[in-house]
Parts: sequence; structure tokens; C-alpha cells
Amino acid sequence: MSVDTSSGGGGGKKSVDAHINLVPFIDLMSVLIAFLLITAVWTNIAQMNVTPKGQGAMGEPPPIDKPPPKFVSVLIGPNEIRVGMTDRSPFPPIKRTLGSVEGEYESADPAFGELLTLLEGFRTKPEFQGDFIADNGVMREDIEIAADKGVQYQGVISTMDIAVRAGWKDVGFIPPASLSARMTEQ
Amino acid sequence: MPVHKPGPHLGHKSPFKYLANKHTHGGKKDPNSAQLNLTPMVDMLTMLVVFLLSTFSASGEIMMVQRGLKLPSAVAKTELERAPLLIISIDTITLNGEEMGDPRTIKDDPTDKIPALTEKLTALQAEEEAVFEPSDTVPVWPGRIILQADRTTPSEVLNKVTTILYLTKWRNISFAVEERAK
Repeated sequence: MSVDTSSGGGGGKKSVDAHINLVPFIDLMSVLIAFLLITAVWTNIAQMNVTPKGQGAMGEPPPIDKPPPKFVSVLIGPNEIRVGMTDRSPFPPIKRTLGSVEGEYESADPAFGELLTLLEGFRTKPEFQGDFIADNGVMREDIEIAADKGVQYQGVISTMDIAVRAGWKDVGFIPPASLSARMTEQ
Repeated sequence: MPVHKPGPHLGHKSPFKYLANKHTHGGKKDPNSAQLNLTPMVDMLTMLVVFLLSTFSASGEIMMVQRGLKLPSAVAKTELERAPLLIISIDTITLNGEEMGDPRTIKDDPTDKIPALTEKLTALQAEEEAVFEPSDTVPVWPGRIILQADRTTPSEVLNKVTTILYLTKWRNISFAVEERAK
């Protein structure tokens, strides 16, 4: 690559032709490409945060001067997903069509679509909204999720994913026995 | 201006004698000389560098996924943060690279105890809390830990491990997931 400004006829004149040496440029590019290819992360890893939930979960005694807060609880099983709320009768279970097939996730199982609709309903329907207003007047975003025996980790993550997408951003993962809501009819 | 059919050599009709001489060796081809056009090569290298820089992610520095371990996938997610790493693969549980037990035996164990893991987590918690410096944004030790588990890990193992984590004051568990488009 060169830039020539001579008129061509100036015999004996010093050339003002400027050459850009491409060799170091190509060397630098090759080294950069090699470095970026070596350090490249082809699978993007992210995180889903969970904290303990429920009464006294953070090590504080439950308050005695006011009623305890209500929670939405989700219990995921190998064949069905149960959703409940503190002080309310449990909702009809959602049947899982695929069960705990290895590697399955919510787009393959319509049960997760139903779960999304139900969880969004808790945030949008007027009959539920009053139950989740915090002391500062803002709607709470915490939810309890537990996994029954025979469920794979992907099922747990898919349930959490659905909860976050429905607006329940503060997810708590706890053992099934610690859920606030009743999950079976008594 | 008349339009001429292009000549066989660059600069055939050019009045610039210097260019004509330079590119065509004065009208004669040198059989021993071959010119390599570097422009497309430089273009390609530039494009590659730009693409690789745009896809560069630093999360690989924070956590390497163990060979043979398939992470669960999720749409909703947050950026990975630096924290101690607890790995549950198909045949082993490790904390910061140290083996803690076998998930296959832990799954069938009727008790909720994994003594080696409890002991190590307690020691690590004391160590981390001792060096923690409170700030305005993080006034108390957050107890953050990354849990990297295979997508087929049974819930029995997951429940036992998370219960132990909560009991040993690790209250912010970050489940490592693979980012997936909607």
C-alpha cells in the first residue's frame, strides 16, 4: 500500500512515495486473534440467586405484634407442580406431561406455561394483590420454591426461571417441609 | 471522455510512468515474482478481531465448567459474581476443588448430613467473615457461594446441600446456569 504524490516526470527528484508496512499490523492482528480465540467463552454462564425464605429464615424471630406475611409457594414434583398460598386452600395441581426427562425445560412442557399464567395472576389479579403489599406500600417480589423427590435440577431451575419471568424476582429455594403454604387438601 | 477496454496490465494507458513501471515492470512480466494482495487478508483479520472482542466475556475467568458437567439452562439470569465454588457433578461434590462426597451415596443416605462438607463450609465461612470489610452497599458479610450442578442432579441431593449451606450461614446461593435465548 503506498501513496504516490510524484508527477512521474521529475527525474532526479527524491520520491515522496510513502509506504505503510503491513507486516507488523498483520502480526498484531494474528496475535490478537490467537489470544481472543484461546480466552473465548463459547457458553455464556450466568447465575440465578436464591436465598432462604419463610418465617425466621434470616435468623430473626417472627414478629408477634402483626400477622406474618403471606407467601406464594411452589412445589415441583416429577409428575405435577403444586402452587399454594399461605392461609388459602391449595390450587389444583398442574400435570407435567414430560415428567423428569433428562435435560427437558419449560418450552417442551406445557405445564410450565400454565405455571407462568398462574404466577402472573398473583401479581395482576386484584383479589391477590392486597396479600403481597409490604409495609412500605410496594408489592413484594418474594416466592418460595421447593423440589419434591424425583425431580431433576433442570426442573428446579425452570420453575425459578418461570417465577422470575412472572415478576417474582426474589426466589427462595427451601426444602418441601419448610413451605409456608399447605400443598394438599386436608 | 471515451471509454476504453481495460488493458492487460495495470497502468497500460496510464500517463504515470512510475506506476506503470512499478506494477508492470516496464511492460514485461517477471516470471519469478508473485504479488500477494494483502487488503482482503487485513479486512478479514480486522473483522475477526472485532467479532471476537464483541463476544468476549470475562465470566470464564470467574468459573470454569467442569468437563462432562451440563449446566441447566435459563432465560432469566444475572451476571456472574466472584464467590467460592461448590460443584455437584454426577459422581462427586467438590468445594473449591476439594472432594466432599459422592452424590449417589448422599442421595440414598436417610440422614441430612454431609459431615465433610459441613466442616469445610463452616471453616470457610469463618475465614471469609474474618477478612470481610463492610461498606455502605454491603454492610454485613453476604455469604455468597456459587453452586455449579449438573442438570440431572436429583432434588434429594440439592435439598441436602442447600440446607447445609443455609445452616452454615451461606445465605446467598448463586445457581450457575447456561444463558438461553427465549
